[in-house]
Amino acid sequence: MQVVVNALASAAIIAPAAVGFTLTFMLFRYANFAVGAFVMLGAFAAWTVNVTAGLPLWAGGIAALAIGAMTVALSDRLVFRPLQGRTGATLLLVSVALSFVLENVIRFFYGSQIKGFDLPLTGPLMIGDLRITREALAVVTISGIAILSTAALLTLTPIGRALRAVADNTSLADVRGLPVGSIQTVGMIIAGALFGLSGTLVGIDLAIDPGLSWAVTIPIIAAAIFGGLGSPLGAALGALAIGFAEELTVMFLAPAYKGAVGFMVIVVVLLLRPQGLLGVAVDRK
Amino acid sequence: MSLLSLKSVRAGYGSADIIQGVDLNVVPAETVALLGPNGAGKSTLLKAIAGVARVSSGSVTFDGQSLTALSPAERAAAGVAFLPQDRNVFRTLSVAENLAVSAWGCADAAARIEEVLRLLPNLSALMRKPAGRLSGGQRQMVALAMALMARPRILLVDEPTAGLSPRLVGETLDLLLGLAQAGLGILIVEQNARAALTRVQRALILVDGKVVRSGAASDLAAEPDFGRLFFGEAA
Ligand SMILES: Nc1ncnc2c1ncn2[C@@H]1O[C@H](COP(=O)(O)OP(=O)(O)OP(=O)(O)O)[C@@H](O)[C@H]1O
Ligand SMILES: [Mg+2]
Repeated sequence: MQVVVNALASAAIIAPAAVGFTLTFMLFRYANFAVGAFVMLGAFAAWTVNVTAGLPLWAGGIAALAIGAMTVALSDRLVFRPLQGRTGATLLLVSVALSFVLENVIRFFYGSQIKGFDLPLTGPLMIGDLRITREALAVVTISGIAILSTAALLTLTPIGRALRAVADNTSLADVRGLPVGSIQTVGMIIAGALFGLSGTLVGIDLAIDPGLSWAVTIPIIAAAIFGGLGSPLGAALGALAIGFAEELTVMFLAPAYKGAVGFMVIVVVLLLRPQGLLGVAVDRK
Repeated sequence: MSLLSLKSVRAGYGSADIIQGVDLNVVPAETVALLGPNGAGKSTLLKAIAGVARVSSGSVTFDGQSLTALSPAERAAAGVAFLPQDRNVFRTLSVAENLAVSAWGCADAAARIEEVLRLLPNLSALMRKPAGRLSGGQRQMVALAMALMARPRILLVDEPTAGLSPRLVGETLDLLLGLAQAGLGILIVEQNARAALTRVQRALILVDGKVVRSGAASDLAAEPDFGRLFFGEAA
Protein backbone atom coordinates (compact mmCIF):
# COMPACT_ATOMS: atom_id res chain seq x y z
CA MET A 1 0.00 0.00 0.00
CA GLN A 2 2.77 2.42 0.87
CA VAL A 3 4.10 1.96 -2.63
CA VAL A 4 0.73 3.13 -4.01
CA VAL A 5 0.89 6.29 -1.94
CA ASN A 6 4.47 7.00 -3.00
CA ALA A 7 3.76 6.27 -6.65
CA LEU A 8 0.72 8.54 -6.62
CA ALA A 9 2.77 11.34 -5.11
CA SER A 10 5.58 11.12 -7.64
CA ALA A 11 3.09 10.76 -10.49
CA ALA A 12 1.25 13.85 -9.29
CA ILE A 13 4.47 15.88 -9.51
CA ILE A 14 5.29 15.09 -13.13
CA ALA A 15 1.73 14.74 -14.46
CA PRO A 16 1.01 18.46 -15.09
CA ALA A 17 4.30 18.86 -16.96
CA ALA A 18 3.62 15.68 -18.98
CA VAL A 19 0.24 17.15 -19.96
CA GLY A 20 1.93 20.42 -20.97
CA PHE A 21 4.58 18.55 -22.96
CA THR A 22 1.83 16.62 -24.77
CA LEU A 23 -0.05 19.82 -25.54
CA THR A 24 3.11 21.31 -27.07
CA PHE A 25 3.66 18.19 -29.13
CA MET A 26 0.04 18.14 -30.32
CA LEU A 27 0.22 21.75 -31.47
CA PHE A 28 3.66 21.82 -33.05
CA ARG A 29 4.80 18.20 -33.49
CA TYR A 30 8.12 18.58 -31.75
CA ALA A 31 9.44 17.22 -28.45
CA ASN A 32 10.35 20.15 -26.24
CA PHE A 33 13.24 18.84 -24.15
CA ALA A 34 13.39 22.15 -22.30
CA VAL A 35 10.39 20.94 -20.29
CA GLY A 36 12.62 20.09 -17.32
CA ALA A 37 14.25 23.52 -17.43
CA PHE A 38 10.84 25.21 -17.37
CA VAL A 39 9.86 23.06 -14.38
CA MET A 40 13.11 24.01 -12.63
CA LEU A 41 12.45 27.67 -13.43
CA GLY A 42 9.01 27.31 -11.85
CA ALA A 43 10.56 25.80 -8.74
CA PHE A 44 12.95 28.78 -8.43
CA ALA A 45 10.14 31.27 -8.99
CA ALA A 46 8.12 29.65 -6.22
CA TRP A 47 11.19 29.52 -3.97
CA THR A 48 11.95 33.21 -4.53
CA VAL A 49 8.45 34.27 -3.54
CA ASN A 50 8.24 31.77 -0.70
CA VAL A 51 11.70 32.11 0.86
CA THR A 52 13.25 35.39 -0.36
CA ALA A 53 10.01 37.36 -0.13
CA GLY A 54 8.68 35.34 2.77
CA LEU A 55 5.20 34.82 1.35
CA PRO A 56 3.15 31.64 1.69
CA LEU A 57 3.84 28.84 -0.76
CA TRP A 58 0.53 29.22 -2.59
CA ALA A 59 1.69 32.70 -3.64
CA GLY A 60 4.93 31.10 -4.80
CA GLY A 61 2.92 28.60 -6.80
CA ILE A 62 1.03 31.37 -8.56
CA ALA A 63 4.32 33.08 -9.38
CA ALA A 64 5.61 29.77 -10.78
CA LEU A 65 2.55 29.44 -13.04
CA ALA A 66 3.04 33.00 -14.28
CA ILE A 67 6.79 32.64 -14.86
CA GLY A 68 6.28 29.27 -16.55
CA ALA A 69 3.58 30.65 -18.84
CA MET A 70 5.66 33.73 -19.66
CA THR A 71 8.94 31.98 -20.44
CA VAL A 72 7.26 29.28 -22.50
CA ALA A 73 5.22 31.80 -24.50
CA LEU A 74 8.33 33.95 -25.01
CA SER A 75 10.53 31.03 -26.08
CA ASP A 76 7.78 29.98 -28.44
CA ARG A 77 7.63 33.45 -30.02
CA LEU A 78 11.37 34.14 -30.10
CA VAL A 79 12.83 30.70 -30.73
CA PHE A 80 10.44 28.00 -31.88
CA ARG A 81 7.90 29.91 -34.00
CA PRO A 82 10.57 31.45 -36.26
CA LEU A 83 11.89 27.91 -36.85
CA GLN A 84 8.48 26.51 -37.76
CA GLY A 85 8.68 24.20 -40.73
CA ARG A 86 12.06 22.77 -39.68
CA THR A 87 12.18 19.09 -38.81
CA GLY A 88 11.17 17.83 -35.39
CA ALA A 89 14.80 16.79 -34.83
CA THR A 90 16.03 20.37 -35.35
CA LEU A 91 13.49 21.76 -32.90
CA LEU A 92 14.37 19.04 -30.41
CA LEU A 93 18.05 20.01 -30.53
CA VAL A 94 17.13 23.68 -30.17
CA SER A 95 15.06 22.82 -27.10
CA VAL A 96 18.04 20.98 -25.57
CA ALA A 97 20.18 24.06 -26.16
CA LEU A 98 17.50 26.31 -24.65
CA SER A 99 17.41 24.07 -21.63
CA PHE A 100 21.17 24.57 -21.04
CA VAL A 101 20.75 28.33 -21.42
CA LEU A 102 17.94 28.45 -18.87
CA GLU A 103 19.84 26.21 -16.46
CA ASN A 104 22.90 28.45 -16.61
CA VAL A 105 20.91 31.64 -16.25
CA ILE A 106 19.50 30.20 -13.01
CA ARG A 107 22.98 29.09 -11.88
CA PHE A 108 24.25 32.61 -12.51
CA PHE A 109 21.60 34.30 -10.39
CA TYR A 110 21.03 31.70 -7.71
CA GLY A 111 24.27 29.70 -7.52
CA SER A 112 24.32 25.95 -7.35
CA GLN A 113 23.42 25.60 -3.71
CA ILE A 114 20.53 23.33 -2.84
CA LYS A 115 17.39 25.14 -1.69
CA GLY A 116 14.10 24.19 -0.13
CA PHE A 117 10.72 25.79 0.45
CA ASP A 118 9.86 27.29 3.78
CA LEU A 119 7.19 24.83 4.88
CA PRO A 120 5.76 24.40 8.37
CA LEU A 121 6.78 21.07 9.88
CA THR A 122 3.81 18.77 10.25
CA GLY A 123 3.60 15.12 11.17
CA PRO A 124 2.33 12.63 8.65
CA LEU A 125 -1.20 11.24 8.73
CA MET A 126 -1.24 7.61 9.75
CA ILE A 127 -3.98 5.34 8.44
CA GLY A 128 -3.12 2.00 9.97
CA ASP A 129 0.46 1.40 8.83
CA LEU A 130 0.07 3.79 5.93
CA ARG A 131 2.13 6.92 6.19
CA ILE A 132 0.76 9.87 4.20
CA THR A 133 2.48 13.20 4.54
CA ARG A 134 0.30 16.27 4.38
CA GLU A 135 2.55 17.54 1.60
CA ALA A 136 1.91 14.43 -0.49
CA LEU A 137 -1.80 14.81 0.06
CA ALA A 138 -1.67 18.43 -1.07
CA VAL A 139 0.49 17.58 -4.09
CA VAL A 140 -1.89 14.85 -5.27
CA THR A 141 -4.97 17.01 -4.74
CA ILE A 142 -3.59 20.08 -6.51
CA SER A 143 -2.21 18.02 -9.38
CA GLY A 144 -5.53 16.21 -9.78
CA ILE A 145 -7.46 19.47 -9.84
CA ALA A 146 -5.05 20.95 -12.39
CA ILE A 147 -5.34 17.97 -14.71
CA LEU A 148 -9.11 17.78 -14.49
CA SER A 149 -9.36 21.54 -15.15
CA THR A 150 -7.10 21.24 -18.17
CA ALA A 151 -9.17 18.33 -19.49
CA ALA A 152 -12.38 20.31 -18.92
CA LEU A 153 -10.89 23.34 -20.63
CA LEU A 154 -9.92 21.28 -23.67
CA THR A 155 -13.21 19.44 -24.02
CA LEU A 156 -15.84 21.91 -22.85
CA THR A 157 -14.73 25.43 -23.78
CA PRO A 158 -14.54 27.17 -27.18
CA ILE A 159 -10.81 27.86 -26.80
CA GLY A 160 -10.22 24.21 -25.88
CA ARG A 161 -12.15 23.11 -28.95
CA ALA A 162 -10.10 25.49 -31.08
CA LEU A 163 -6.87 24.15 -29.57
CA ARG A 164 -7.87 20.60 -30.48
CA ALA A 165 -8.85 21.71 -33.98
CA VAL A 166 -5.48 23.42 -34.54
CA ALA A 167 -3.69 20.34 -33.16
CA ASP A 168 -5.74 18.09 -35.45
CA ASN A 169 -5.17 20.02 -38.69
CA THR A 170 -3.43 23.39 -38.66
CA SER A 171 -3.93 24.17 -42.32
CA LEU A 172 -7.66 23.41 -42.20
CA ALA A 173 -7.99 25.55 -39.06
CA ASP A 174 -6.43 28.42 -41.01
CA VAL A 175 -8.75 27.88 -43.97
CA ARG A 176 -11.80 27.75 -41.66
CA GLY A 177 -10.86 31.18 -40.31
CA LEU A 178 -9.39 30.34 -36.92
CA PRO A 179 -6.64 32.69 -35.66
CA VAL A 180 -4.14 29.84 -35.56
CA GLY A 181 -1.16 31.79 -34.21
CA SER A 182 -3.05 33.25 -31.24
CA ILE A 183 -4.64 29.89 -30.43
CA GLN A 184 -1.20 28.28 -30.42
CA THR A 185 0.04 31.01 -28.07
CA VAL A 186 -2.82 30.28 -25.68
CA GLY A 187 -1.81 26.62 -25.81
CA MET A 188 1.77 27.53 -24.93
CA ILE A 189 0.61 29.70 -22.02
CA ILE A 190 -1.38 26.76 -20.66
CA ALA A 191 1.56 24.39 -21.14
CA GLY A 192 3.89 26.87 -19.43
CA ALA A 193 1.57 27.25 -16.45
CA LEU A 194 1.45 23.45 -16.15
CA PHE A 195 5.28 23.33 -16.19
CA GLY A 196 5.34 26.00 -13.47
CA LEU A 197 2.88 23.98 -11.40
CA SER A 198 5.04 20.87 -11.66
CA GLY A 199 7.96 23.05 -10.59
CA THR A 200 6.17 24.05 -7.41
CA LEU A 201 5.11 20.48 -6.69
CA VAL A 202 8.58 19.06 -7.29
CA GLY A 203 10.04 21.63 -4.90
CA ILE A 204 7.75 20.36 -2.15
CA ASP A 205 9.13 16.85 -2.55
CA LEU A 206 12.74 17.31 -3.67
CA ALA A 207 15.59 19.72 -3.14
CA ILE A 208 15.60 22.68 -5.51
CA ASP A 209 18.77 23.17 -7.55
CA PRO A 210 19.53 23.87 -11.20
CA GLY A 211 20.33 20.19 -11.79
CA LEU A 212 16.67 19.42 -11.14
CA SER A 213 16.09 20.24 -14.78
CA TRP A 214 17.56 17.01 -16.17
CA ALA A 215 16.34 14.86 -13.30
CA VAL A 216 12.73 15.51 -14.24
CA THR A 217 13.01 15.77 -18.03
CA ILE A 218 13.15 12.04 -18.76
CA PRO A 219 10.30 10.92 -16.47
CA ILE A 220 8.08 13.70 -17.86
CA ILE A 221 8.79 12.80 -21.47
CA ALA A 222 8.46 9.09 -20.69
CA ALA A 223 5.03 9.74 -19.18
CA ALA A 224 3.94 11.74 -22.23
CA ILE A 225 5.21 9.09 -24.65
CA PHE A 226 3.56 6.35 -22.62
CA GLY A 227 0.33 8.33 -22.90
CA GLY A 228 0.60 8.52 -26.67
CA LEU A 229 1.52 12.20 -27.22
CA GLY A 230 -1.96 12.83 -28.57
CA SER A 231 -3.98 12.93 -25.43
CA PRO A 232 -3.50 15.02 -22.27
CA LEU A 233 -5.42 12.42 -20.27
CA GLY A 234 -3.08 9.76 -21.60
CA ALA A 235 -0.13 11.82 -20.35
CA ALA A 236 -1.63 11.87 -16.86
CA LEU A 237 -2.10 8.08 -16.95
CA GLY A 238 1.45 7.81 -18.28
CA ALA A 239 2.64 9.74 -15.24
CA LEU A 240 0.90 7.20 -13.01
CA ALA A 241 2.60 4.37 -14.86
CA ILE A 242 6.02 6.00 -14.49
CA GLY A 243 5.34 6.69 -10.80
CA PHE A 244 4.52 3.04 -10.17
CA ALA A 245 7.43 1.76 -12.26
CA GLU A 246 9.81 4.00 -10.30
CA GLU A 247 8.49 2.96 -6.89
CA LEU A 248 8.56 -0.73 -7.80
CA THR A 249 12.12 -0.34 -9.02
CA VAL A 250 13.11 1.25 -5.74
CA MET A 251 11.38 -1.54 -3.83
CA PHE A 252 12.56 -4.60 -5.76
CA LEU A 253 15.80 -3.47 -7.38
CA ALA A 254 17.65 -0.54 -5.94
CA PRO A 255 16.97 3.20 -5.58
CA ALA A 256 19.93 3.83 -7.88
CA TYR A 257 17.99 2.42 -10.83
CA LYS A 258 15.05 4.78 -10.36
CA GLY A 259 16.49 7.27 -12.80
CA ALA A 260 16.75 4.65 -15.53
CA VAL A 261 13.05 3.81 -15.42
CA GLY A 262 12.06 6.68 -17.70
CA PHE A 263 14.60 5.65 -20.32
CA MET A 264 13.44 2.05 -20.18
CA VAL A 265 9.80 3.05 -20.55
CA ILE A 266 10.61 5.25 -23.55
CA VAL A 267 12.50 2.44 -25.27
CA VAL A 268 9.90 -0.23 -24.52
CA VAL A 269 6.93 1.93 -25.56
CA LEU A 270 8.58 3.02 -28.79
CA LEU A 271 9.39 -0.60 -29.61
CA LEU A 272 6.07 -2.20 -28.73
CA ARG A 273 3.40 0.42 -29.12
CA PRO A 274 4.64 3.58 -30.81
CA GLN A 275 1.20 5.17 -30.56
CA GLY A 276 1.35 4.93 -26.75
CA LEU A 277 -1.39 3.95 -24.35
CA LEU A 278 -4.33 6.06 -25.53
CA GLY A 279 -2.75 7.69 -28.52
CA VAL A 280 -3.79 7.38 -32.09
CA ALA A 281 -1.03 7.11 -34.65
CA VAL A 282 0.29 10.60 -35.26
CA ASP A 283 0.51 11.42 -38.92
CA ARG A 284 3.60 13.31 -39.90
CA LYS A 285 3.03 16.49 -41.83
CA MET B 1 -19.85 42.84 -61.56
CA SER B 2 -17.39 40.02 -60.89
CA LEU B 3 -17.36 38.47 -57.44
CA LEU B 4 -14.05 36.69 -57.98
CA SER B 5 -11.61 37.78 -60.64
CA LEU B 6 -8.21 36.31 -61.53
CA LYS B 7 -5.91 38.01 -64.01
CA SER B 8 -2.75 36.35 -65.40
CA VAL B 9 -2.28 34.39 -62.22
CA ARG B 10 0.87 32.34 -61.83
CA ALA B 11 0.97 30.22 -58.69
CA GLY B 12 2.59 27.17 -57.15
CA TYR B 13 4.73 25.89 -54.31
CA GLY B 14 8.28 26.86 -53.42
CA SER B 15 9.92 28.38 -56.47
CA ALA B 16 8.03 26.37 -59.11
CA ASP B 17 4.91 27.78 -60.76
CA ILE B 18 2.25 25.14 -61.41
CA ILE B 19 -0.36 27.63 -62.62
CA GLN B 20 0.99 29.47 -65.65
CA GLY B 21 -1.17 32.53 -66.26
CA VAL B 22 -4.86 31.92 -65.62
CA ASP B 23 -7.74 34.36 -66.09
CA LEU B 24 -11.01 33.55 -64.43
CA ASN B 25 -14.22 35.29 -63.35
CA VAL B 26 -17.11 34.17 -61.22
CA VAL B 27 -20.18 36.37 -60.70
CA PRO B 28 -22.70 35.99 -57.84
CA ALA B 29 -25.02 32.96 -58.17
CA GLU B 30 -22.85 31.55 -60.94
CA THR B 31 -21.66 27.92 -61.01
CA VAL B 32 -18.35 27.28 -62.74
CA ALA B 33 -16.62 23.92 -63.15
CA LEU B 34 -12.85 23.59 -63.31
CA LEU B 35 -12.01 20.40 -65.22
CA GLY B 36 -8.82 18.78 -66.37
CA PRO B 37 -6.55 15.76 -66.09
CA ASN B 38 -4.74 14.67 -62.93
CA GLY B 39 -1.88 16.97 -62.05
CA ALA B 40 -3.19 19.81 -64.23
CA GLY B 41 -3.11 22.19 -61.28
CA LYS B 42 -6.82 22.38 -60.43
CA SER B 43 -6.28 22.01 -56.70
CA THR B 44 -3.34 24.39 -56.84
CA LEU B 45 -5.52 27.06 -58.45
CA LEU B 46 -8.18 26.76 -55.72
CA LYS B 47 -5.45 26.81 -53.07
CA ALA B 48 -3.98 29.95 -54.60
CA ILE B 49 -7.35 31.68 -54.36
CA ALA B 50 -7.78 30.47 -50.76
CA GLY B 51 -4.29 31.66 -49.80
CA VAL B 52 -2.83 28.21 -49.17
CA ALA B 53 -0.62 28.12 -52.28
CA ARG B 54 1.70 30.97 -53.22
CA VAL B 55 0.68 33.41 -55.99
CA SER B 56 3.85 34.64 -57.70
CA SER B 57 2.28 37.11 -60.12
CA GLY B 58 -1.03 38.34 -61.45
CA SER B 59 -3.99 39.53 -59.42
CA VAL B 60 -6.68 37.81 -57.39
CA THR B 61 -9.52 40.13 -56.45
CA PHE B 62 -12.68 39.39 -54.54
CA ASP B 63 -15.50 41.93 -54.65
CA GLY B 64 -13.05 44.46 -56.10
CA GLN B 65 -10.48 44.01 -53.30
CA SER B 66 -7.12 42.37 -53.77
CA LEU B 67 -6.78 39.14 -51.80
CA THR B 68 -3.08 38.57 -52.33
CA ALA B 69 -1.89 40.12 -49.07
CA LEU B 70 -4.48 38.32 -46.94
CA SER B 71 -3.96 35.13 -44.90
CA PRO B 72 -6.26 32.14 -45.48
CA ALA B 73 -8.17 33.05 -42.30
CA GLU B 74 -8.62 36.65 -43.47
CA ARG B 75 -9.87 35.45 -46.85
CA ALA B 76 -12.34 33.18 -45.06
CA ALA B 77 -13.57 36.15 -43.05
CA ALA B 78 -13.92 38.17 -46.26
CA GLY B 79 -16.31 35.56 -47.66
CA VAL B 80 -14.14 33.07 -49.53
CA ALA B 81 -14.82 29.49 -48.40
CA PHE B 82 -12.45 26.76 -49.53
CA LEU B 83 -13.29 23.07 -49.21
CA PRO B 84 -10.05 21.13 -49.59
CA GLN B 85 -9.92 17.87 -51.52
CA ASP B 86 -8.93 15.78 -48.50
CA ARG B 87 -8.42 16.21 -44.76
CA ASN B 88 -11.32 18.67 -44.86
CA VAL B 89 -12.79 17.90 -41.41
CA PHE B 90 -11.19 17.84 -37.95
CA ARG B 91 -11.20 14.08 -37.49
CA THR B 92 -10.73 14.02 -33.71
CA LEU B 93 -13.59 16.48 -33.09
CA SER B 94 -17.26 15.56 -33.11
CA VAL B 95 -19.46 16.84 -35.92
CA ALA B 96 -21.01 19.38 -33.54
CA GLU B 97 -17.54 20.57 -32.54
CA ASN B 98 -16.47 20.79 -36.18
CA LEU B 99 -19.38 23.11 -36.87
CA ALA B 100 -18.92 25.16 -33.71
CA VAL B 101 -15.21 25.68 -34.25
CA SER B 102 -15.86 26.79 -37.82
CA ALA B 103 -17.97 29.63 -36.43
CA TRP B 104 -15.03 30.93 -34.39
CA GLY B 105 -15.54 34.53 -33.38
CA CYS B 106 -19.19 34.61 -34.54
CA ALA B 107 -21.50 35.85 -31.80
CA ASP B 108 -24.42 34.00 -33.41
CA ALA B 109 -22.77 30.58 -33.74
CA ALA B 110 -25.85 28.71 -32.49
CA ALA B 111 -28.09 30.41 -35.05
CA ARG B 112 -25.62 29.62 -37.81
CA ILE B 113 -25.51 25.96 -36.84
CA GLU B 114 -29.32 25.82 -36.97
CA GLU B 115 -29.31 27.52 -40.34
CA VAL B 116 -26.84 25.00 -41.76
CA LEU B 117 -28.74 22.07 -40.27
CA ARG B 118 -31.91 23.27 -42.01
CA LEU B 119 -29.96 23.08 -45.26
CA LEU B 120 -28.37 19.69 -44.44
CA PRO B 121 -30.90 18.03 -42.12
CA ASN B 122 -29.16 14.63 -42.29
CA LEU B 123 -26.35 16.02 -40.15
CA SER B 124 -28.60 16.41 -37.10
CA ALA B 125 -28.37 12.70 -36.34
CA LEU B 126 -24.57 12.72 -36.58
CA MET B 127 -23.74 15.65 -34.32
CA ARG B 128 -22.11 13.59 -31.56
CA LYS B 129 -20.10 11.36 -33.85
CA PRO B 130 -16.34 11.92 -34.24
CA ALA B 131 -15.81 13.25 -37.75
CA GLY B 132 -13.06 10.69 -38.30
CA ARG B 133 -15.64 7.90 -38.21
CA LEU B 134 -18.04 9.24 -40.85
CA SER B 135 -18.60 7.67 -44.25
CA GLY B 136 -17.20 9.49 -47.27
CA GLY B 137 -20.52 11.07 -48.17
CA GLN B 138 -21.21 12.16 -44.60
CA ARG B 139 -17.74 13.63 -44.30
CA GLN B 140 -18.28 15.75 -47.42
CA MET B 141 -21.55 17.04 -45.98
CA VAL B 142 -19.82 18.00 -42.73
CA ALA B 143 -17.03 19.71 -44.65
CA LEU B 144 -19.61 21.65 -46.64
CA ALA B 145 -21.51 22.58 -43.49
CA MET B 146 -18.26 23.83 -41.94
CA ALA B 147 -17.55 26.00 -44.96
CA LEU B 148 -21.07 27.44 -44.84
CA MET B 149 -20.72 28.44 -41.17
CA ALA B 150 -18.81 31.53 -42.30
CA ARG B 151 -21.77 32.58 -44.53
CA PRO B 152 -19.44 32.81 -47.53
CA ARG B 153 -20.16 34.54 -50.80
CA ILE B 154 -18.03 32.23 -52.89
CA LEU B 155 -17.43 28.52 -52.46
CA LEU B 156 -14.28 26.87 -53.82
CA VAL B 157 -14.92 23.13 -53.79
CA ASP B 158 -12.27 20.54 -54.63
CA GLU B 159 -13.62 17.16 -55.79
CA PRO B 160 -16.55 16.83 -53.38
CA THR B 161 -17.67 13.55 -54.96
CA ALA B 162 -14.35 11.68 -54.85
CA GLY B 163 -14.98 8.13 -53.67
CA LEU B 164 -18.78 8.43 -53.64
CA SER B 165 -21.18 5.96 -55.29
CA PRO B 166 -22.62 7.08 -58.65
CA ARG B 167 -26.01 7.78 -57.06
CA LEU B 168 -24.43 9.95 -54.37
CA VAL B 169 -22.37 11.84 -56.95
CA GLY B 170 -25.52 13.25 -58.56
CA GLU B 171 -27.19 13.99 -55.24
CA THR B 172 -24.12 15.72 -53.82
CA LEU B 173 -23.63 17.89 -56.91
CA ASP B 174 -27.32 18.84 -56.97
CA LEU B 175 -27.26 19.85 -53.34
CA LEU B 176 -24.01 21.76 -53.61
CA LEU B 177 -24.77 23.60 -56.83
CA GLY B 178 -28.30 24.33 -55.60
CA LEU B 179 -26.71 26.68 -53.07
CA ALA B 180 -25.98 29.11 -55.90
CA GLN B 181 -29.67 29.98 -56.06
CA ALA B 182 -29.23 31.99 -52.89
CA GLY B 183 -26.57 34.11 -54.60
CA LEU B 184 -23.47 32.10 -53.74
CA GLY B 185 -20.81 31.90 -56.45
CA ILE B 186 -19.43 28.38 -56.84
CA LEU B 187 -16.17 27.24 -58.41
CA ILE B 188 -16.01 23.46 -58.38
CA VAL B 189 -13.27 21.02 -59.34
CA GLU B 190 -14.85 17.75 -60.41
CA GLN B 191 -13.52 14.48 -61.81
CA ASN B 192 -16.95 13.43 -63.05
CA ALA B 193 -16.82 15.88 -65.92
CA ARG B 194 -20.08 14.79 -67.55
CA ALA B 195 -22.00 14.95 -64.27
CA ALA B 196 -20.61 18.41 -63.63
CA LEU B 197 -21.24 19.79 -67.12
CA THR B 198 -24.93 18.91 -66.98
CA ARG B 199 -25.30 20.94 -63.78
CA VAL B 200 -23.04 24.02 -64.00
CA GLN B 201 -23.38 27.11 -66.15
CA ARG B 202 -19.79 27.51 -67.31
CA ALA B 203 -16.63 25.43 -67.34
CA LEU B 204 -12.90 25.84 -67.84
CA ILE B 205 -10.54 23.08 -68.86
CA LEU B 206 -7.11 23.31 -67.30
CA VAL B 207 -4.15 21.40 -68.74
CA ASP B 208 -0.58 21.84 -67.49
CA GLY B 209 -1.49 24.96 -65.56
CA LYS B 210 -3.15 26.75 -68.49
CA VAL B 211 -6.78 27.18 -69.47
CA VAL B 212 -7.07 25.41 -72.84
CA ARG B 213 -10.81 25.85 -73.32
CA SER B 214 -13.62 27.66 -71.58
CA GLY B 215 -17.23 28.47 -72.26
CA ALA B 216 -20.84 27.55 -71.56
CA ALA B 217 -21.11 24.07 -70.06
CA SER B 218 -23.55 22.91 -72.72
CA ASP B 219 -21.18 23.99 -75.53
CA LEU B 220 -18.22 22.22 -73.97
CA ALA B 221 -20.22 19.05 -73.39
CA ALA B 222 -21.23 19.07 -77.06
CA GLU B 223 -17.70 19.40 -78.41
CA PRO B 224 -16.68 16.34 -80.38
CA ASP B 225 -13.15 16.30 -78.99
CA PHE B 226 -14.32 16.90 -75.43
CA GLY B 227 -12.95 13.58 -74.17
CA ARG B 228 -9.59 14.25 -75.77
CA LEU B 229 -9.42 17.71 -74.20
CA PHE B 230 -10.50 16.45 -70.86
CA PHE B 231 -7.94 13.71 -70.76
CA GLY B 232 -5.30 16.23 -71.70
CA GLU B 233 -4.02 14.77 -74.94
CA ALA B 234 -4.42 18.13 -76.63
CA ALA B 235 -3.15 21.43 -75.32
N1 LIG C 1 2.19 20.85 -51.73
C1 LIG C 1 2.80 20.70 -52.93
N2 LIG C 1 4.12 21.00 -53.07
C2 LIG C 1 4.74 20.85 -54.26
N3 LIG C 1 4.14 20.44 -55.38
C3 LIG C 1 2.83 20.13 -55.33
C4 LIG C 1 2.10 20.25 -54.10
N4 LIG C 1 0.83 19.87 -54.33
C5 LIG C 1 0.77 19.55 -55.64
N5 LIG C 1 1.97 19.71 -56.24
C6 LIG C 1 2.26 19.49 -57.66
O1 LIG C 1 1.51 20.39 -58.41
C7 LIG C 1 1.03 19.80 -59.59
C8 LIG C 1 -0.45 20.02 -59.73
O2 LIG C 1 -1.09 19.40 -58.63
P1 LIG C 1 -2.62 19.63 -58.31
O3 LIG C 1 -2.89 18.92 -57.04
O4 LIG C 1 -2.91 21.08 -58.35
O5 LIG C 1 -3.32 18.90 -59.53
P2 LIG C 1 -4.85 18.55 -59.74
O6 LIG C 1 -5.22 19.10 -61.05
O7 LIG C 1 -5.64 18.98 -58.58
O8 LIG C 1 -4.79 16.96 -59.82
P3 LIG C 1 -5.82 15.86 -59.27
O9 LIG C 1 -6.88 15.73 -60.29
O10 LIG C 1 -4.98 14.63 -59.17
O11 LIG C 1 -6.32 16.31 -57.94
C9 LIG C 1 1.43 18.32 -59.53
O12 LIG C 1 2.55 18.13 -60.36
C10 LIG C 1 1.79 18.11 -58.10
O13 LIG C 1 2.83 17.17 -57.99
MG1 LIG D 1 -6.62 18.02 -57.05
